[in-house]
Amino acid sequence: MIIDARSIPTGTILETEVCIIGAGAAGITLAREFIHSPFRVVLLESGGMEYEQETQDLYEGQSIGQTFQDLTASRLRYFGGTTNHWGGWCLPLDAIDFEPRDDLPSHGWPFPRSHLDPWYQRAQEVCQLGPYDYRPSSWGITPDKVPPPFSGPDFECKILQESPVRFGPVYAAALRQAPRVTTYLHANAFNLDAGENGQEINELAVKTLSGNEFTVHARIYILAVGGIENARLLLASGKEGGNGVGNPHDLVGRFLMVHLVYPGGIIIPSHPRLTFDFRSHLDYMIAGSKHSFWSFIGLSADSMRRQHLANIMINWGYDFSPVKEAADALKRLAHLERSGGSWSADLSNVVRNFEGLARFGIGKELFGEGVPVNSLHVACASEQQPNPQSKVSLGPKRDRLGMREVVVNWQLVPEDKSKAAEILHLLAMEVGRTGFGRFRPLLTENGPWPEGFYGDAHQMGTTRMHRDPKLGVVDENCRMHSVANLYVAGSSVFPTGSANNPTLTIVALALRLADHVKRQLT
Amino acid sequence: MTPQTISRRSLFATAISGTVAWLGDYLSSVLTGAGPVYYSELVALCLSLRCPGTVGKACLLAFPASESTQSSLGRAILADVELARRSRSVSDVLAQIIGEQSRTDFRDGRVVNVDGWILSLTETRVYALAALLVEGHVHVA
Repeated sequence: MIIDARSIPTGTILETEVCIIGAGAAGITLAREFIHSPFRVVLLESGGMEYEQETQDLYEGQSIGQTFQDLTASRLRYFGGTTNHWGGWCLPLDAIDFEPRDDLPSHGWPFPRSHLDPWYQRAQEVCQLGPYDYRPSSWGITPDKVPPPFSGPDFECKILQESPVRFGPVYAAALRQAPRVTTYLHANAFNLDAGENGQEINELAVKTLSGNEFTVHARIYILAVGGIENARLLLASGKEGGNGVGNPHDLVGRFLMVHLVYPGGIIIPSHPRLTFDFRSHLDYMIAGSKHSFWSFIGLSADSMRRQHLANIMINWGYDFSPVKEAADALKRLAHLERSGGSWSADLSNVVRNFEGLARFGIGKELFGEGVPVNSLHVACASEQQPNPQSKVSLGPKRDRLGMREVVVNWQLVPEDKSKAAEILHLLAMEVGRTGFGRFRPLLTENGPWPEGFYGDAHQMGTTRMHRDPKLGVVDENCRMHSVANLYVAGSSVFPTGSANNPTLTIVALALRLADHVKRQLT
Repeated sequence: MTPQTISRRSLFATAISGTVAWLGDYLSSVLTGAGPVYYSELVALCLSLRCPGTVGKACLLAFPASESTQSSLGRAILADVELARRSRSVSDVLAQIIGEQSRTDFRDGRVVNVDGWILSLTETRVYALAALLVEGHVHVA
């Protein structure tokens, strides 16, 4: 059932087996896993079923480091969380992302990718994707369609699937009907009380913006409020003036990572009619149904190992020949397309480009050639290296509920830029070596980040996973090292962030955590 | 008619796009023939390129003054070409050799940064020589 927490009388104590804090991708996935279990679950959501400004304002905070994404815009604080505005790009992290690497500090997970594969497979269904198959050939991009230098040994064509499923609207009905899962809207987790010894959560204090306060008593608590808020609630809990709950080694909030996004440069293809079929965004029939995918360029694992490089996702946009504009204008003149452009401008465009247009038409007719491409505008998303100085902490300012707001000090290390520059230089060499064209990288080792550089909204690492309590906040089961009945879900547990979009991994980890918690309760 | 303003960078990008196929496609149809490669043939080849002045001048800037004369550029190009030619049959063409040499440059890391573009050493020399030959004498500020 779903209840508005503003109707819960102050002083109420809710008893349950599991308390999940946050109803985003991770929290909803976890709660769904308990629908058919014998255990009672309380799912707390700060917002309602729709966007509300006063709740969203609880995300206010300060950025004091590198310019960070707007804290109130990059996340959404209502049922469904940030899946209410995400793009739906999904893919697992690469196997190499899980590997400890001597050449990249603090790199790797406590288990290999293969360990997570069964949950990745189940996560595909939760995210309403196609089969757990990310081989380009399975999506119609056969090896013969991928030209050098994107067919190895350094660069490869890779696949991501796209399904911007809104977890809130899609899964609300099932949770509403679940007899033992109770969702409380407008319920803000305020303080995790770990008592004097701090080794177990005794209760969770909850507040609403209407002023009523109540308590949750659970056997197990799971934090699932996002990459920044997970750390914030831990730091804000416990004794006033202390260093939070589950933080004996001052690791909570540290290692904040995002993906580094920037324009990579321009490729001039050696031939304007190169076939770019391998760079597709299509709906594709696979396993009997239609699913959407994108292909992109990445580094091979072998290249990353051999050249000590971090992960990267490379896309590009096309700068078409003026003939493309003329072709569009001709279509409009022929009433094939009625929107856009003016008649006189279109006529001018066609006349000016008559020769090119005629050649394009003939080429298209005779040879099925595509639109001539002048240049490719390369766009990159790079892996950020784990950095303990990049962190979330608490500032003096408090939100409407009285909780201290976050101070985000997002910091990079020099290797973030130098590794990215090395990759672009490698791309230039490979593009030239294979005769694909020439590349003008916008990032060089000693130069600044290109104009347009930013860190994206994939906030990770602030409660990082590690087997050693001195190196990680949670263990390999996502349990807090120092708090027996407190678990963390979401990208804050990622010890390394790859360049790949995180949501499928968040969901896979949530499914895995649900299985683990059920075993603990049994 | 309103004059268009084109930045040096975009002009160079445009010029590059027109000439980048030089080694890959265009050259392969220019020169055929057997025997040793001589400077006069290289000159003829360069003059037939119609290499945009912006490209040539930018490539010239990539070299120190001592390496940006006609004779030094010509010697350097032909030395590389001759080395490659010795292992080839007589029917190989100069264009193909230079084109392949350019790819080899990328493989071996013999590249030059010209206005941000990563070009092979060989093609940079050729563009620079073309600029000198086409304009007779190029003043580089």
